[in-house]
Amino acid sequence: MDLVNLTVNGQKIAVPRGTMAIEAVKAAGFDVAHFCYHPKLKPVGMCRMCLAEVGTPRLGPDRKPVLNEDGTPQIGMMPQPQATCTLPVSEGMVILTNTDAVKKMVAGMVEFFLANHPLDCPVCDKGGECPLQDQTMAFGPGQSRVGEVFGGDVRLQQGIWEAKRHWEKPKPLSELIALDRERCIQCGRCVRFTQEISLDNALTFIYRGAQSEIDTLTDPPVDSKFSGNTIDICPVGALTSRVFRFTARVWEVKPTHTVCTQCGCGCNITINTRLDKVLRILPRDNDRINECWICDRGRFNSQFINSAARLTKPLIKRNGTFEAVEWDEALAFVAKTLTQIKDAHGGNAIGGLASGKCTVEDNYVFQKLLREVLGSDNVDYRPHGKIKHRLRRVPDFYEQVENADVILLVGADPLEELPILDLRIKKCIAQRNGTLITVNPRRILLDQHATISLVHQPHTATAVITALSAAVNGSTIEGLGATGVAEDLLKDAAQRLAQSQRLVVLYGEESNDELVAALHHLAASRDRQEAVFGLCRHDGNALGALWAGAMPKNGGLDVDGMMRAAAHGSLKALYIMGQNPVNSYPDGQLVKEALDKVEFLVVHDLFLTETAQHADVVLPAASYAEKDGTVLNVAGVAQRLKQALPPVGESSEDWKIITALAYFMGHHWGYKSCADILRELERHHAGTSARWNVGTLERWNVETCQPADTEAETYPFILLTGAQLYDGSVSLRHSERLSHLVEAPFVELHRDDAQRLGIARGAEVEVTSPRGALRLRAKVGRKVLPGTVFVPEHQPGAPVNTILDPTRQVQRVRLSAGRGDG
Amino acid sequence: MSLSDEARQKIQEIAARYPRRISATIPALYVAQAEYGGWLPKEAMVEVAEELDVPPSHVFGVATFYTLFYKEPVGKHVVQLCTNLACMLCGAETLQQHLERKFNIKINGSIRDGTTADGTFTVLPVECLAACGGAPCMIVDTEYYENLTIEKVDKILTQIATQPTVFFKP
Amino acid sequence: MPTYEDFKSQRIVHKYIDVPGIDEIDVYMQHEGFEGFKKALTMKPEDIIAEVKASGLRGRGGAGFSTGMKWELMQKNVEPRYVVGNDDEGEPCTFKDRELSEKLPHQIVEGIMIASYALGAHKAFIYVRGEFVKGYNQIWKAIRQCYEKGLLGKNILGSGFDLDVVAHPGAGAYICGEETALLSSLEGGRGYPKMRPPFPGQVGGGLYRQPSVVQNVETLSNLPAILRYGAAWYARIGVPPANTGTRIYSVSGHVQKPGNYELPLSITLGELIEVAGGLRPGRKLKAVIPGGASMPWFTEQHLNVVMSFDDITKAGSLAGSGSVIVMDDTTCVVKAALRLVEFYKHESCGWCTPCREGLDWLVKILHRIEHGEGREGDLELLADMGDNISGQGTLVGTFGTHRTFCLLGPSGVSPMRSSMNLFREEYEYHIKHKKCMVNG
Repeated sequence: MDLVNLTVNGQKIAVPRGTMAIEAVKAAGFDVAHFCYHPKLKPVGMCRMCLAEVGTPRLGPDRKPVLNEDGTPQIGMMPQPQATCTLPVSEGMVILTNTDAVKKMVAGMVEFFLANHPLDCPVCDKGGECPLQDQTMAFGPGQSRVGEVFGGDVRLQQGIWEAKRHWEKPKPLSELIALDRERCIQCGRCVRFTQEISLDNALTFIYRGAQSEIDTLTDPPVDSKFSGNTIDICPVGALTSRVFRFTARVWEVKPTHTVCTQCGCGCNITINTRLDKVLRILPRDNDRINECWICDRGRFNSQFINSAARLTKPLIKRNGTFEAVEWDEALAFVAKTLTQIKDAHGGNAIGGLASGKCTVEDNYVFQKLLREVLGSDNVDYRPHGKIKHRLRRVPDFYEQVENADVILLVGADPLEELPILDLRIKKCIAQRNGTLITVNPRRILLDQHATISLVHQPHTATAVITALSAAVNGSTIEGLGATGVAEDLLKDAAQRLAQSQRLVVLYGEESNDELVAALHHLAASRDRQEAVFGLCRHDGNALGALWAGAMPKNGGLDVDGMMRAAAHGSLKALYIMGQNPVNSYPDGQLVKEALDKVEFLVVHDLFLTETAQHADVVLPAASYAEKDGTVLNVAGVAQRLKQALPPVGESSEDWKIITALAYFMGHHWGYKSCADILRELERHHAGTSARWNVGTLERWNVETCQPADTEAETYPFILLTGAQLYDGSVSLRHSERLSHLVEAPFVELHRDDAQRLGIARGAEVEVTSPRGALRLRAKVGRKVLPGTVFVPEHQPGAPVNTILDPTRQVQRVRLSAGRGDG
Repeated sequence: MSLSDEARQKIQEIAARYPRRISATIPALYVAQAEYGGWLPKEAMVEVAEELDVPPSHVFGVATFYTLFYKEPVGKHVVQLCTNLACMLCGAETLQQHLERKFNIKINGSIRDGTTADGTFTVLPVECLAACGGAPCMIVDTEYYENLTIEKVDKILTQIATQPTVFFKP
Repeated sequence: MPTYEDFKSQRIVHKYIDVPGIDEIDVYMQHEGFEGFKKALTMKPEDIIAEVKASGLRGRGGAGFSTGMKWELMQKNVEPRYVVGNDDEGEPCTFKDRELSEKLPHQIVEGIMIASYALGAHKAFIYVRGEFVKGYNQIWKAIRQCYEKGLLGKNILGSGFDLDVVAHPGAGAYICGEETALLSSLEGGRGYPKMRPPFPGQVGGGLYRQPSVVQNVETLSNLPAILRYGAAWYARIGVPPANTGTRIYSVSGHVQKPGNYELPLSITLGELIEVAGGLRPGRKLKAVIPGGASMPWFTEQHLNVVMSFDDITKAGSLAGSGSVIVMDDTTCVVKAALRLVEFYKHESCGWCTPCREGLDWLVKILHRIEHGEGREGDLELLADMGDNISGQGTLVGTFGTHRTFCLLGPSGVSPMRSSMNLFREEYEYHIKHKKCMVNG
């Protein structure tokens, strides 16, 4: 490594070239005051706290250092103090941070900050973890010479000569964040975060000079999925969380270091609890995964954990209503009924839906229950059968993304599905000069930062990729016409792909085999190392569930097979752990038939979900904050969950429930902790070829699909669906503050179509398929192509699965203007 | 209300002058301000953002940084009265006091305080207008007036009161 | 007693300012218009740079940096590159550029054409202060007329040189006169200064991060004549070798004939005041601010200072933008200083702490002194807070060790510090007697 030698306060140190002086001072072991500087943000030199006296070796006419008599280089001190955050180190540099002159400068600066800063620390959320407090303590003057310390003058009250700046406080900046403008010291960290990291420009400075403040002009205000990070990096109590505000002093909370499981990113978090209540969730630094950021869902979707709506006792449905019962009674009842069904119809009359939301241990024990106790091989963790996950462990996944020169993103919207991945892609673009090429049937927000967006007609992604491969290889491009992608754009993309040295290909979890094969072919055709990754969305431990073996083998039914068998009547009992298929299963009609028909339904969940309402027995489960366990993120990296608070009421960890149930059925497994289970699982894997044989999955039968053109007259629009970060999930419904940001159910259509059909922005539209109809709010724009519409999955109160017919390859709908309300 | 097609066209034209469209933010805001009767409500900023394909918050930040963009409704004519040193040395304070009494307003930088009851004028104190050779001076709408006296100011404002507003159109 | 008539024949920039219709291209061309540019087209760009350097021309915007040197330092072989004319005149009591924009717009455009050709730029901008509506329209008129005559656009006059010039309006922010803030503003953003290095002439520091040269419009207006008559001619005017040519002195305040006077750099302060009509009868000179509001003040004892860059520096102030504010004995210095500090406070962009917070508090303290509410210790407090914005430790130039991001903050301290050094007894009188020593 290219090192630079320098001296800090007389101490010699060597740091890599390009290091900023402030980091060198820290590395030499000296405290350096700063507010605006943040290692993840570009240096700006705004706060002027990190000033130092700096000198460099004097150079003679021969550009060589001039030496003193004793052979040491002569140092020429710079005439002006230097902000060390914006000063790159150079060979022989001398930095002084502990001289009287520097001390006076820093003390003077602290005085300026405090001159207008209110001294309301006793009621400030930041108190106790406030850099301004800390730095005033360390570097500030003990007394203020200005501000509201002189009394007696009537004009003082009028705020003319002496008063600090006063603002209405606090001002809600968004649903999630409150701004106290009096406390703001204008370091711009928050604004710069939205300009450099989240790239959504949600915040800006407005006005100027002493009147500067922070504000937003987006709709909704601070339109960012990452806004909470601005609270963390605010060095004063200006930005505060509207969820956490005034709930506790920070030194009273208990921190638990764990992992977020709300999607597959695997962000490291700290859960702060007090008196067994979750107060706030903070990111925990891990540069290999989430750096120091988390998304707003991960941060603010915490209130559901202590929601009064949580299930706290087992429920048994008797005469159509649920009765709370003791655990023994519930488990005995479940054990008895399942045994009866097994005895009467055989184990394969029982099916189990495990869950990517639960831990590896939960899933392992779950499939063990099905296989060993109930004798069934019908087990699947996936919400539906189109999902294809591949288990690969790539510890440097995020680094690969960050350092890619070209990222090809196909059929996915990371902002809604894997937000921290979205942030890494943005880092690659904004800080590493990477190129993003997207291939999607509609525009996504990330396209604003893409070099090339290949927006294609629905269901033609494979054709686009095949054409790209052809263009990369220099062979004839075929079949591009049907995709709607312009040839010059495609060729431009192909050229960049061909030249890339560090290509990363990311594709959505619903990509079919042909598309994945085409992507591998494309990556391989470049004759360079391939880096192709499938993405699992939303379910935080999908790969862990796969690893734990919660998939059918030896001819067992997968989730689709189980639904059909249940609807058909051949599957008698269904055991669902942590899933809500009524909302999330694509074929809403089939799942209702299945759940109505099945003789015995057991559900583990935190809430009485739509699915749980169909159940015969509901067992109260623990949330991710309430349990230990192992989870695998999107890159297959295993991480540990740590229990931050005991499960509420009598709810319990899924693995404990299942272990107890097995005991009731005569199987004494004897697990005392997750560690016991994990050891067993690892032993299990050790004997096999590193992973479970997942087997070939039964695919959807698409033969019944009618010819598209006859249907196109009645149902002229192709319906696209996709994930949404703030969806109708039960947990979001019970996180009061964040629930305000869940959008009313909408359909997105192209503005030409809207104009033709006379549909105004915000008007109510009826979206009708052969299966049914939904009334949705119209979002009009240019994100979807003409002739297609987009409806997010599980929107609150309007689940799109009620109108989907997954037996058809192409989902078609018609639109009609409903009542306009805007 | 929203921007006219003509204004949108003009913004597009201006944007084409620059290597990057975002550079047209200031001139586009002038176009919008003229359309909105001399000030910039937030919806005007959002429209400018849409027209230039830049973040709305960016436009908000720019519009509030510069003093010639007004964030509240202004009178029919904006009078920018210079109060900087050269004009002060040559009697700007007398003019300021005269206008405050004459219109029963306060010339303190607040648009509300500086607007006459009939909405004809908004008088704002401004920093040096670069006309110190003709101090004291002022700008009404877009026109400079120099070597002012109380009588001269009265005459100019009486004449202008009935005339239509002249907006700067880049 | 000298009068302006004695100097009029030596004018360079204002040579044809009195010609009727000089703001139309045909009249301008009848008066040597574009001859400098045409001459430039026959020269190699590096020879033009050498010529401008040899002329000794120094920037007329404020810093007085050698124009030729600035051009030499511009990073080479990087495309695109830009030339930007700075017509965002805002330093209090400076008013030369507004006049040039309104009356001699073609000369500015010709100047930027020469600079663009010499520096290999194919796109140039003139950033016109938002208040200068007439000047902005005049510059656009000149640009359009140049296109009509084939002086701008593709393959200009068959030379193979392409150039587009765009006039860009500011919108009321003094800081945008600072070259990097001007670039931020031209990029469509808030007028924040940029970090240096990289300097505007280097990759990463200029317009859109490309190498750029920002030049005051008076500087640009000197280029046509330098090209026409040669560097040697120009270098003989003024105080050779380092302070050549003429400059436009904007004289305002307590003189009988305030206005713009183009004079050789060899003029003295006393002569300049006489040229501007002298003081009002019966009045005594109290203070003069040479070079714009941010410069240290002069008094009667400086009347013999030659108004060149280096002589003014030697006398303890700076030549700045060439404006001269004259205050006679009717002036309250506390009030005058307060007005100027208030100005800088109003124009502080808010980027860095000492300027944003410090000037705000200087104004508050000066206010109470001016309004008879001053307290014992206020002068020491003012001085110390001033030091915390811009210290007096190691003196470089006259600003001292500034702790700010750019020079606006130190500029705001200067009137307070300078007037307090010269007229401390007036400040003390204000505090002690709760009223003004001059005006009661």
